[in-house]
Amino acid sequence: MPNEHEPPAASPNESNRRDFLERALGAGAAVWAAGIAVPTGIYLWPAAASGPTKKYIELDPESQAPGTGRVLGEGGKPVLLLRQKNGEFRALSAVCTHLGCVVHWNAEQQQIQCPCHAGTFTPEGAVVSGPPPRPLASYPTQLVAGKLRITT
Amino acid sequence: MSLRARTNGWFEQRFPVAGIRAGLEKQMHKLLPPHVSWLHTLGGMLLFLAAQQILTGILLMVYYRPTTEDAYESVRFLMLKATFGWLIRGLHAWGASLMIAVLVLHMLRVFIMGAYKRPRELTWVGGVLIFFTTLGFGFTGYLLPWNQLSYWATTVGTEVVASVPQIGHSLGVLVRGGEAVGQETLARFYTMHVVVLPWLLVFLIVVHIVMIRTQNLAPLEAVGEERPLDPRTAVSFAPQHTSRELVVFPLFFALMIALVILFPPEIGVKADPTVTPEGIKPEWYFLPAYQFLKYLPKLVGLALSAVPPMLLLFWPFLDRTRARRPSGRKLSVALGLGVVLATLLLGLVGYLSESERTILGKRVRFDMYGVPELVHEGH
Repeated sequence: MPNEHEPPAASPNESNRRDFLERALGAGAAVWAAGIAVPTGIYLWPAAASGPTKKYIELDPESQAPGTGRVLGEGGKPVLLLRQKNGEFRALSAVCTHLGCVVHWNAEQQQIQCPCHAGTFTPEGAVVSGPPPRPLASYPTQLVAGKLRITT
Repeated sequence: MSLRARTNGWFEQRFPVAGIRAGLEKQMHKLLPPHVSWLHTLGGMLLFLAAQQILTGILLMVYYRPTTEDAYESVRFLMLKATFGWLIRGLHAWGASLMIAVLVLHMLRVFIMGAYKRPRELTWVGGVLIFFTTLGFGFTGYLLPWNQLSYWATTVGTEVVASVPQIGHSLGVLVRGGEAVGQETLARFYTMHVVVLPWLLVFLIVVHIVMIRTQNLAPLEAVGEERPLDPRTAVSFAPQHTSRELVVFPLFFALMIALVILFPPEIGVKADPTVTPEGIKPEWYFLPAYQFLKYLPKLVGLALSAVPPMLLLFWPFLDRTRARRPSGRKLSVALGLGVVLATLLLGLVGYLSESERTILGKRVRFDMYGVPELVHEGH
């Protein structure tokens, strides 16, 4: 016995209407999904990706003896500050250009060394050996009112 | 009418108890091919391990704090103060390592027995996706204790992602939540590790088991020559196969407890973003890839290291031969074992690289490429 709730056989016209409605529903769902996906993607993009807000580091130049090097961590980006024997300063990015490890100054060998994959750099930041593809970035230093200012 | 029958009747009207029970009964007494052996308990062992990881993971979340301030201290507290905290974390850490090891053995079993062939290609693909998901668990979970090793291994690992041409930098920022590994990275990895990946894993496992159950385990006969199972030689899931599992699971669990007691996971030194310690290495299961990347220029290495995972994923569609028995496909089996050996060797070289060891009474130093060099005394 035929089910009385069964709709009558669709005429060609009606079938077109149903197809259209199905397609419209599909398109609506796609728009809705995109409306959720786009803000989600933007939300996942870090809001503070522009980097640290502090643009420079200031310190007392006498806090570092000539012929030494140290890593400054404040401000977000590690900075390698070298003081030459003649008292002049040089500031370089302490982030190895290979895979992001923090380099250090080896006073004995007068070299900058990376502990991860044995990359070495000259005191000017140029690559001597190992896998780093680029020299270390250098930052300008200046004396401002008796303080050493490193602009990062 | 007994109380039990009445209760059953009451539930039956509201929930299809009898139907579900009948389905489970049918699954329990399913017949498996006659060659099903102890080696086939590896898959069940993985299910056991996944359940263990979820349970111990939930327990760890009770004390763990995902912030750069507290993460390290909370793990320390868990290990030293919380009663049995060392055991829960030990099982979670060892369980993770063993899960990778058992996954590899399980894949090797399936590979050698040709069980991935038609019509079980998608079961293999799903299994490889489970393997990748588990590696994702390893990579994200390793950062959470926030110690020096985990911090710098994650820095190097995400830097590899960031060296993809064109989109690499953006990809790195997206993964880390910024330019460097920090609080945002910890939050992102934690979310992946405790919410996203577990649901993905559960989904993949359910699909995997449904496929195994509907297609049954692969026989040893070649594709197209499968014979129907003979009830006189077939292995029953229960009690024959399950009794093997009941032997394997407790032994395996006892081994894990012994490992936790003898080799507890370290707490390490708290992460310091300004000091990179010497000899940073990833977890053992990433060592082969880590070592492989050292021998090649960055981009070439990156491009080439994407090849083996793709081959693994699509292997059933590349190998269209019909034989299943290993004796009938010596070339494939040799190739598979060769890849496994090469991977183990790369991992071993990666493990030895940049370290100094005493071998047969001599001090030997291995450089970053794993080339040994004698260390002269007094030097």
